[in-house]
Amino acid sequence: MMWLLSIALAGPANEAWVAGDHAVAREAWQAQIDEGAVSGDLYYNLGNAHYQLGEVPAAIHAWRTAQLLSPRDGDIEANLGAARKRTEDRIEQPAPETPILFWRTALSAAEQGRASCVLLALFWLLVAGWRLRRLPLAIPAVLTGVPGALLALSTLQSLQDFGSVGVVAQAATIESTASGGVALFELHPGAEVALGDSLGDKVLVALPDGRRGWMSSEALWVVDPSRR
Amino acid sequence: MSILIAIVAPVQAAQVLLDADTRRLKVGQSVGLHVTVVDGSSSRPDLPEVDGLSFVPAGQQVGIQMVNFKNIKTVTYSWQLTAEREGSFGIPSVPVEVDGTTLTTNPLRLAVAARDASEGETLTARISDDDGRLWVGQTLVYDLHFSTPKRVVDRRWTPPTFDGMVSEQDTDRRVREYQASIDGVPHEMIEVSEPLVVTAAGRRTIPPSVFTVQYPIRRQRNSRDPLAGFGGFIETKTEIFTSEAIEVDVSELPTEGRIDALWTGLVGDFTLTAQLSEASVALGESATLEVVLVGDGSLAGFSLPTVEEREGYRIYDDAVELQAEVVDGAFLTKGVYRRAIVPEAVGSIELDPVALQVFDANTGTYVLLESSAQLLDVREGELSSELESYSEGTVDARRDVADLGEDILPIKTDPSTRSGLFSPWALGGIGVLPGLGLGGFLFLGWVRSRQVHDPRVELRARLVDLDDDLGRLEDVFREALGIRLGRAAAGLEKADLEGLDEGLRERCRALYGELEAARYGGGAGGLRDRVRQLCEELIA
Repeated sequence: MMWLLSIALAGPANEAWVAGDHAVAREAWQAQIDEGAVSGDLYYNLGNAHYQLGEVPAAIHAWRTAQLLSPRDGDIEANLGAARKRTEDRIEQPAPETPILFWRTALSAAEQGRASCVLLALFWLLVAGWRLRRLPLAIPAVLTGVPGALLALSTLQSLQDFGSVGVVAQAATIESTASGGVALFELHPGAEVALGDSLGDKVLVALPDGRRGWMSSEALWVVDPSRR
Repeated sequence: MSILIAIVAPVQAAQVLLDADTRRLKVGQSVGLHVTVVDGSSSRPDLPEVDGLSFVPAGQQVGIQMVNFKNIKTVTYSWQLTAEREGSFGIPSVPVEVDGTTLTTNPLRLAVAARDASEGETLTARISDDDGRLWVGQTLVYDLHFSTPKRVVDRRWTPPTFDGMVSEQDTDRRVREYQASIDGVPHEMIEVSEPLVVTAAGRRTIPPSVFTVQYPIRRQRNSRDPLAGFGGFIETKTEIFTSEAIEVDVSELPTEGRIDALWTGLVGDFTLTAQLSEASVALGESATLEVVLVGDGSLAGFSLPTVEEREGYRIYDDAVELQAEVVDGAFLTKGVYRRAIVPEAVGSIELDPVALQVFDANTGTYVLLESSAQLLDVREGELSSELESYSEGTVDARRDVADLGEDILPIKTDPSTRSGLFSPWALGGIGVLPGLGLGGFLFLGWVRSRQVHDPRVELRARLVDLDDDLGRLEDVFREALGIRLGRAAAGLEKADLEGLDEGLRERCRALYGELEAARYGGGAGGLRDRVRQLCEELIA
């Protein structure tokens, strides 16, 4: 069903884009997402449409979402770099580090999950052959089971990363407490922040330089492809 | 010394060098003077006599270092140099006989100052241009000199805040420690030199430097404590010394006399030379124009002015080689800028002179530095026939792709619709459920294997499916007997039935007889039923 919908809508969206009607293209891609399509390419195209319409914060939000779904797509990072130059707050993004579980930066959560499922299914088949048929499959079982389990753990961790970043939608004052307090600093549309605890309609946000404070969640778009 | 050798090693010939522990002394002070022979054999040279200085031989040292995979021997002849009176003294080049050839060292200039009235520890700070006006952009050296007749265990310099000045970026702070003798008393001397570039005009004050020194404390040995002093621990006393503050006046550079097109921003006393590596090259080869800028100002951030492309040759800038160091309290720098000249036609090329404007801090005026024009003769070469005009033929005439504007990258025209989401339940389903199933299956098998084996139950099951096969009837009967008698069924015969009740024993014997008769074709019908009945009685 989703496939049919995408075929039906991709044509008009592309045609509208080529014709320079970015608003129509944006609506078409947004419609696909609203119907349940969760694809990095769709979010990427949606970001492009937002950007061309001058909606830089929305473009950043769409591209950050696309990054979670297609982490190896260099076009997304390139466009994000262009959009960040047009925001008001200069926030240096932390340099990506290569973690011990290096595949976490190379594979999306879904890719990790699917790979994990394949490896674990193979693992159980090998274990069954080893235990029930007495076949010499113990070592192959370990060689598939260990990476399968690691991928499963990192999949869960990657899924937890959904919703850990937000894009400021409208100018907001960051305060020291959830109930007000001292105004610490201001953020403007397009600023990317890490999200922490939430309390009522306030959410704790943090900048890469360590500054943190509370802001209204209504002034924030959460980067989470599982939300619509 | 290793740096020294590294510099001279490529020459592949013996070198002789003259150096002193310091080139600024005070009257009555004695320091080391050294003649070093690198990669050669010699005897101790004779030093020339210099009025106001005296030299006393003080031994020699031999060392071997590996440079570029070659062992290089160095012999250092030392003297104790004593300054007898105030003034400036020059030690002329010293002739040294090395492997039958007479080589000469570099000359050396020493400055001898009057004695301080104070004795003991002294800490003095000075800047290299303390007698004149400073200019924005000028490079100066902040010198700190500490001397003490005591042995120093550790020392730490706390630099002052250089307001309106920054550290020169092409050279490091220089710290020298050496021994000297003043009126026969050995002193430890510590010199710190910090090159600075002036960045702001106005009256500036360099606050006092703080020098923290740790001296060892001598204690009488405690004869009752055999471990006293064990382990090399030294008890120390800390003393803090402060220098005097230094005040300077810094002026903005004047605009009068400045030629903006040639102004380089360099401040100092500079000389400029330019030299072509070849006077004549064949077409297809290249020559190198080496422009050398030497002076006492920082060259940080400076690059040669660009030159316009001319017809007949191309120019490529090569890597820049910068050297900067503090020598005798003065900052010296040398920049070597190389340009590759690639001719494209036979003939004569006249390279324009390199012209720069710098600001001379000593005279307070702008100075135009200009090298001489260079001529390069280009003759026919092997590749002449292949080289044609720059813009046509086989010469690579491509240019970099120029940016006309900036925009985001294009959309994906065939976007993937594969869901980027993943349910953790799927992971649980595939990762855990098969494990539970397999585990349950294995658990059942384990439970079965743990159940107690009851031969009666098994035999009863066999009796249900019993047929008329004579061999199976005999087997079943023997197993039933074995169970009853508590013996192995194999080989049980009629003679083994003594343990049974008499009635049962007779019936068993009779059945043995029937089975034996049946084996030879005799016997009555219904044998299977009788076997089954008797077996059930036996295992009941």
